Amino acid sequence: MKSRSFAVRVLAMLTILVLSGSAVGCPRRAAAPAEQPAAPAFRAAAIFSIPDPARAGGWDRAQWAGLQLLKEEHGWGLSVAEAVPFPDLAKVASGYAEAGYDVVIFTSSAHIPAWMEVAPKYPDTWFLLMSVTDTLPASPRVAAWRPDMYSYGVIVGITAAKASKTGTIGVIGGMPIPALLLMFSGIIEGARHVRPDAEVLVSWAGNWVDVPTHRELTLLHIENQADVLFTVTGPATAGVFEAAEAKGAMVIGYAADWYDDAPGVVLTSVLVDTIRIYTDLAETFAAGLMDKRIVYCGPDYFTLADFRGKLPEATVAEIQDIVRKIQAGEVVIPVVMHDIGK
Amino acid sequence: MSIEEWIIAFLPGAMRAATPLIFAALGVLLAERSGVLMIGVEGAMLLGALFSIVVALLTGDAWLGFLFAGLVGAAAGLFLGGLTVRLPTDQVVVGIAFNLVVLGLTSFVFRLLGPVGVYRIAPPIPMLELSIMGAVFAAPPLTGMALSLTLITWVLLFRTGPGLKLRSMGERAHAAHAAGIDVVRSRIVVLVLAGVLCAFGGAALTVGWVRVFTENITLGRGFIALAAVYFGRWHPGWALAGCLLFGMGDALALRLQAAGGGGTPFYLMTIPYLLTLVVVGITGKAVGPQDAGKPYGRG
Repeated sequence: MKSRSFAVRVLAMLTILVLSGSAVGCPRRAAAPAEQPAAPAFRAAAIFSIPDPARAGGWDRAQWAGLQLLKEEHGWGLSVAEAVPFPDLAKVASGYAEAGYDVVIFTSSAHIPAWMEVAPKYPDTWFLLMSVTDTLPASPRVAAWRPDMYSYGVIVGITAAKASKTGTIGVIGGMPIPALLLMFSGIIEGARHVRPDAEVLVSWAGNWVDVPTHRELTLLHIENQADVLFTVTGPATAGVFEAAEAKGAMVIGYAADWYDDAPGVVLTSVLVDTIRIYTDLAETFAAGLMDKRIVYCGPDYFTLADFRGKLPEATVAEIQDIVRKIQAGEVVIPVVMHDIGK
Repeated sequence: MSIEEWIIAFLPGAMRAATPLIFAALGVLLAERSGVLMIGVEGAMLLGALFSIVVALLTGDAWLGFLFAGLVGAAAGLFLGGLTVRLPTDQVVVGIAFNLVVLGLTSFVFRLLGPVGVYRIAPPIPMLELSIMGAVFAAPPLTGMALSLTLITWVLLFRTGPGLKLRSMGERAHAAHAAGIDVVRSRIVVLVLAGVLCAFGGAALTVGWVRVFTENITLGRGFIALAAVYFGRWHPGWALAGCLLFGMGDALALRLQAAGGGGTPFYLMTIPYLLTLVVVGITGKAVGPQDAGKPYGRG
């Protein structure tokens, strides 16, 4: 009887351990590089630091769309590592390089230290960064597609200031990484360009995932008269939507079209043309023309999604006109960095 | 903004943050008073958080979602009871493994349910007209319910016969057995109740507060509830105080940042944790129920 009870206990503990091992592995898809059934033209691995990049945040979702293009339109093999903590980035990237992947893609400016560390160790693998950088690692096979986050912010600021009734814009960031410091400074300058009295409230949640914190920060912005909000974070974007819906404020989507997430509150989205970026990447590779470089992605990579009747047509036309002038270089808004990261 | 206006705006924020913790802390407190460590509080909260929002979205009724969370929590409590009391296995290991399993499971189920629209914002929880707390203090219904349950838990533990039996199991399980208490069955019943309360905590976080679910949405709040119980020395009133303290710290940190003062946001975000640490440090060593965490065997 006693030995049977012991056996049951051992069995129960083993079941729990096996389940926990498999379940914990669930969110981090493809922690070990996975093979594609047919031999692909190239094999790429993309690294994200947040869970569920297909849905979370804006930048990651836009990246996801580009990655799907590599896979579906260009026949690339694709492996995605998600929810990779910053200290593990170098280890995961090294794992992909050692597994023979042709391209390893870092998707955030917060990944730069790992990019700098790993790329020189694997000179036969291409290490790409899809974010803001002015320098490249000391390796022959490195490149970056560098979006002009300041100009992106300017377009957001112009749109928000034109849409706002109160003249106060609420901006919430996950963490003050370099790309966001540039972008949020651009928002302030863009808003002031079309509305000199515009006030931009900036706050940082300290993470990309805590929904309640993002919700409460949004409520505080709304309490302080903000009626148009913009956020760059991860899955916690949902908290911003919820607070905006509860209080009747509007949200401008980041990088991807957020309309389907919260149709009632999304005013428009400022899109990043990641399809163009990844098409460029795929075609350059296929032609064998890839070289060490930084590709500047200027204002022409940013477009406005449909406003879906949320603003008067005349206002929309005004916004689009200014954006077109910025893209054409007819309007230049000088780079002024604001002290918003401390 | 005047001081009065500031307090009026601050208190609801603090209560919103404290409400899920109060439910979960009561669950932890009951389990540990009966002699079982409730390390699985985080997992039970996550289950409640997910399934309440799923049912609320599918039925359009937030209260139904909240109640369904209780059912799921009861099942979780029964499962934990089966492992830690009936077998019994190590309570700490089972608790940790349970949290890890549930983290993966809820993330997996959440993604599976994507096509049925679980990414949407759930309907708001309507005011419960019969809520006395709501009527008297204009508190949100779940906050009123959490405060009422704290009082009920205190009465149950310290003013009733079953409460005395429950506490005796936590202090001297074998003596309780000698006095005629079926320790195994009673502890399992308590764990079912604890599971319900912890899942209510998760539901209060989602259907009662942010109205959405994301992976690992609890982000350690179950462990904060656990700390509140230790801070409160396993007494419902003091555990409530611990939860309120954390809630106020949380609300204060956000408001200081919004006011543009008090240093960098990262230092400000540590306020609730620092407050909890300081208070726990000041209150000194806490001694819990003597048999808490010890596997009980009749042999």
